[in-house]
Amino acid sequence: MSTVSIGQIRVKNVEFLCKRGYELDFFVNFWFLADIIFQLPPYKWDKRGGEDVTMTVIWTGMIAVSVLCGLATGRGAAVASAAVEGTSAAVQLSLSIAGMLCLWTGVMEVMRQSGLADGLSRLLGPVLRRLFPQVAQDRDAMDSISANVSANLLGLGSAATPLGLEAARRLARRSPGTASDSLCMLVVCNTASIQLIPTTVASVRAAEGCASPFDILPAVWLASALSVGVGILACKIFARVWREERPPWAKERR
Amino acid sequence: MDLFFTMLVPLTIAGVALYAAFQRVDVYSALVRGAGSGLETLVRIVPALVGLMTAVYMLRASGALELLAGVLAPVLDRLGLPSELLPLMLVRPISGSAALGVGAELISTYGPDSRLGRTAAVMLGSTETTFYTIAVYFGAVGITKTRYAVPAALCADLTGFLAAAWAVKLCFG
Repeated sequence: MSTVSIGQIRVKNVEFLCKRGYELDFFVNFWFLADIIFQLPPYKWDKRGGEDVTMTVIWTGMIAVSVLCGLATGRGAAVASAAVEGTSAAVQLSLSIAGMLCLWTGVMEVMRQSGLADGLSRLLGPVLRRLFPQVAQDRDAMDSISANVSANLLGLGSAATPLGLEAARRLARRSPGTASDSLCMLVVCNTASIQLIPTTVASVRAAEGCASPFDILPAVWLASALSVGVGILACKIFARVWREERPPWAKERR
Repeated sequence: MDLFFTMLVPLTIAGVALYAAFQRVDVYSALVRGAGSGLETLVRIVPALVGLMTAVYMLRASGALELLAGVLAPVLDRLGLPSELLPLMLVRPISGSAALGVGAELISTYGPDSRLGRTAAVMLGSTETTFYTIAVYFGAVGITKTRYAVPAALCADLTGFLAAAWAVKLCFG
């Protein structure tokens, strides 16, 4: 089979990539967005080219644009030295955040094993039942939702995704093919960051010689709370006006 | 108050360790195992970071990003967002490691304790890789009609960016 629709790629490979810790292709992300907004027909592409080529196009594009733009603005020499600086900056960054990153994943493993995440998810139950009124009676679904949310709060990213997918599977069973209000809410809660201690960013700040890398915590909490709040509000409002499967402006199209 | 936030992290670590020890968890080996998995994550993102940071450094040096920022500056100014952070806002919803690369570069250029550096850090800390998450969730459960999930998630992201700029102004003057 030389061609494959992106819809199949989306369904079959996404979870595999996610399990292996890969990020999705830039291109798949863009196509996914365009598909949702403009309701495109299934896109056929050559599998031989596949995902490697698309990332190649983006990356090569960035390099080509910078070389062309650098030559046009007379900054060729700067671009040349930037290429060298970039590689060593990436390695330096990786090395300098390694210590804090490891310490925090270690502490988080301790949190997970001690049952702190379970305790937190029990505390969250009453709040989450109000956010997901349609499934409040479904104990299993609510359990996986609260486990997902508490893992996100504690920054247990690798534990949060499988839990969230489990919850999403339960929610999707109720309305195959179309996102229900609860599923949209779950996804929006996961696209907004609710991590209480942003460890990676703090590692980067510490690596840059910041004396108190966690002094941004109040600002992060404020911004996260506003962002999640608006996301939840948007879900609740859209749920009332956006009852159709298609967006309101795409109704006439077949 | 300052002392509270400075001590919050060591207190968290100590509290977790004590609680876990009280729950009869083998704290030290759990810590070491977890730290090992952190190193694995790091090893996985290093190659991507090298590729993407090289490209970002070259784009910056060539002036292409400034051109783009110059075009969009009036819009961003009206929203109260510094145009220097535009590259970060553009890649944040798409790729986590690219955003980390761009953010780290901004933090090192302007300094971790400058207003721009702090805003970049807060933006990184208060938003997620939206399109990646959406693709993973809907992809895994085979949903193609996502209704309002994307617009709602983007509302949350935009609020996160605006709130980051505002919160840094509020907390650090």
